[in-house]
Amino acid sequence: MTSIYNFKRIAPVPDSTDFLDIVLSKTQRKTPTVIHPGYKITRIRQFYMRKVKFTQETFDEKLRQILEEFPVLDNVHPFYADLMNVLYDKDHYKLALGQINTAKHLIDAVGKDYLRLLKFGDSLYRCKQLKRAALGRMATIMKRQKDSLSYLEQVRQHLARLPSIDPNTRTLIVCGYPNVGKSSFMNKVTRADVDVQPYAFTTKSLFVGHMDYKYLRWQVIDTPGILDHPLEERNTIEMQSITALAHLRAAVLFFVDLSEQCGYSIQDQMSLFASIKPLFANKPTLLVVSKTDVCTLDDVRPEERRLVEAACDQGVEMSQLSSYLDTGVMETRDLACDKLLLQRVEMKLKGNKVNSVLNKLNVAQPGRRDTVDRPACIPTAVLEHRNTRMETDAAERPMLERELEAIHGGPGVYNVDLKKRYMLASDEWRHDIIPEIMNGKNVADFIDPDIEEKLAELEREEERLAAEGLYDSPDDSDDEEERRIRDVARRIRQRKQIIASEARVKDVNRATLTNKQKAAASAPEDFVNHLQQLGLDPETAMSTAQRIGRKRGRSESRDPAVLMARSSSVAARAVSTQRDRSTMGLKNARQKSVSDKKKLVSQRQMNLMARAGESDRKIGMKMPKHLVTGKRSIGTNDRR
Amino acid sequence: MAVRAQFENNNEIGVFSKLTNSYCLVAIGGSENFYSVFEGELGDVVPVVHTSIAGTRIIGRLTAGNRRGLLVPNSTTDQELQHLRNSLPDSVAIQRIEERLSALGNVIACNDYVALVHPDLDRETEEIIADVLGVEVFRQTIADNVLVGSYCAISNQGGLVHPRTSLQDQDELSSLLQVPLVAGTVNRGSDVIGGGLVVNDWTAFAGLDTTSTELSVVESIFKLQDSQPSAIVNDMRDSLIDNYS
Repeated sequence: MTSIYNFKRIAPVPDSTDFLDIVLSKTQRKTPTVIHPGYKITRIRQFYMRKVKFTQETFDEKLRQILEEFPVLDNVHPFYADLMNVLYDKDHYKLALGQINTAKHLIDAVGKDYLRLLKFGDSLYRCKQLKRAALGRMATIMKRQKDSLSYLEQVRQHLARLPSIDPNTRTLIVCGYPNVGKSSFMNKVTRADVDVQPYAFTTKSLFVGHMDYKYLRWQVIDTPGILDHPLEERNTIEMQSITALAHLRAAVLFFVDLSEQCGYSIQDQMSLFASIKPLFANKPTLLVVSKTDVCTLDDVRPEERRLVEAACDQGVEMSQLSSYLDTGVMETRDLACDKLLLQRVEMKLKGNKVNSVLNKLNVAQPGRRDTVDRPACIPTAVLEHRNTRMETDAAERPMLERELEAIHGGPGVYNVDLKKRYMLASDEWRHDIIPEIMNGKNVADFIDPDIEEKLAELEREEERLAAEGLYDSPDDSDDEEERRIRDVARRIRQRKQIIASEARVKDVNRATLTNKQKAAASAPEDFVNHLQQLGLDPETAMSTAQRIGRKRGRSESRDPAVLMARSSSVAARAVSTQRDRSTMGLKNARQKSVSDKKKLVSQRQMNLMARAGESDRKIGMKMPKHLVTGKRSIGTNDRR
Repeated sequence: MAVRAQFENNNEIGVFSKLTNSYCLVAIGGSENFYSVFEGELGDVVPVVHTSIAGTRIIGRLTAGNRRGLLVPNSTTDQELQHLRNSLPDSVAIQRIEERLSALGNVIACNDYVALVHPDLDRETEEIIADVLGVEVFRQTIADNVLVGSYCAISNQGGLVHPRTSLQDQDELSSLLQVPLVAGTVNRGSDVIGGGLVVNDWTAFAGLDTTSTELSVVESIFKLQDSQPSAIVNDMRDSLIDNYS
């Protein structure tokens, strides 16, 4: 519901020279800066095109920001639109924003043109001149916006200082001739500290204060004084008041000074009232007679009194107050607030939004459902306390925990004593330490002294119930079908277990044999086992397999020794096998045995002395100096 | 008397405290400011007890209780239970409950005579509630929310329910509870009434954000300081309409 316009967030508008500096230095910072004539021409063109494009985009972005941030007069609440018209002149404002918009378009067009030209630049020099021309033209366009920019900056500063008036909330508007006590009243009812001086036009702009009445927040607007002359002749200060009166749906308090201390006659004041009366249409209006300490309605001449009373018709009520004596101020405020609230509520009741809050206004009263009495339980101490609360003073009451905390070092230091208020049979027990575990049992389980007795009781009951057969399962019907199903189920479970355990063995992460290799590796017994598991007779299959699988030699009578000798010496090497290197370079077995003996003899001495032989691994020098000393790029290398 | 308070910059004070007619539980915080708000109001009448439940500070949401008893969830440690037994008067029965919906404060809303509970609560829990707290138990929802404890605050004198409770629901709940009810908000428009408000028969504590309109509704409906629920219909009607619509 609240619609607060916040004009404080508009970014500052730099003046035209600053604007140029900002944009050009950004271009310099954010685009490459090094180029050589020797580069490829496409690269040179691209370099300058990038500069032009970037500058144009930066201008575009900055100008767009200005255009978006300043409020559009057609989109804000009419009160603010009119106020801005009064303060800044609508035409001027629109013109300034329009010129900024035009400048933005012009700069975009310049950028586009020069990008096109740059495509035909044939040397670094030409390209550079084109870039200079482009940036120069953009700068010229911006320089022409000097006035618009400085005007917009002024508007921004002024807008940011406008009071934040919510046009839709509950509002009281205080108005009248200058120096009739408007600001004094404002200072009385709100905490706004408005300047009050004994001369006219002390208040030169709108001021806002807030107050609470009937649980609601109210906004009070103090307006500058208005003189009685035609609308066209009114100055900016007066026009602000008129704008507030015209556009805010508020209660109007028109102040009249009967003492004429303000320097304006009662006739003048009443004629002003009559002339701006159209602005009060449909608004609760109060004619407030101020400064009653000096002059009341009874003190004035009868014809003037008649004049004042004549104004009080058609819903306009009169109220008298003296800000000096503080009489009638609150009554006036309450009267105005009540009238406005009544009007707002009537308005809202006509709309349909009120249906959604009906349940918040309705107090559901219970219908009696039985005869039980359900009284409130308020301790007598509270009732007594209520009567005596006023008399007890701070010194008497016990210290609060917060005060103790402050005394003992403040939050984080003070450790609150949780056991301080324990209600035990003896106060001495408060800080006793109770073990949590005792004899391997949780102490808390034995809080109930009769726990074991109760447990025994429960167990007895359980036994009794068991004996009575409460838990016996109904006798199992042992028919044929069920047994068969159980048997199948058992076998299925077994098989599942086997599959699972096999899978577990198989699933290890290592190389597995291919089916062909597996077949080669399998022994005839596996085959037999498999057949037996399937319940088949392995005999015939085995004999067939043996018959087929046996290799037939050329002759049944060949001597096996001859065969062996042949295979070891002559057979071509089908696979690369490792040969015995100890026999290499030796003519025959005798020579080898001789060389073995000699080797043993030569090693005998070394073995006896447990010395390393020449075949042992040896590191001559652990850290060769030339590899681990000397200067490095990161400091010295003194790591020894 | 309705008082505004804040727990460590948090307005949901119903989460960190539990208030009944015979005792008040307060979470252990970084400072004693929150505790002292309760202590200053209630200290000389009922015990105000620092406690944690299951090591957490959200005691208001985990426990349910009234003048006669206190229900704590089964996550409560033995030591916390012992601390509560020592701190509360013997007239208050303390019971640890085995319940799947362990945030008992969210699923149970009760005064000294009637309790509204979450529709999915165990039957056994329901019986324990009836026995320990000495209340009639009704399974209910508030404005179609099953968390009855979160969306209402009730005392023996009145009740504040979720702002979207329909008029029929209000009437039904009111005749179950046998207290006047009104729909409303706390904490500047928050509908989590149980989170923002704790109340007993003579005091209420609301979050610091609660507006004066909301606070005066609270005072009227709970009959604090001689105000009457009729004030909502008579004196405050205009303010409420202007404020809410």
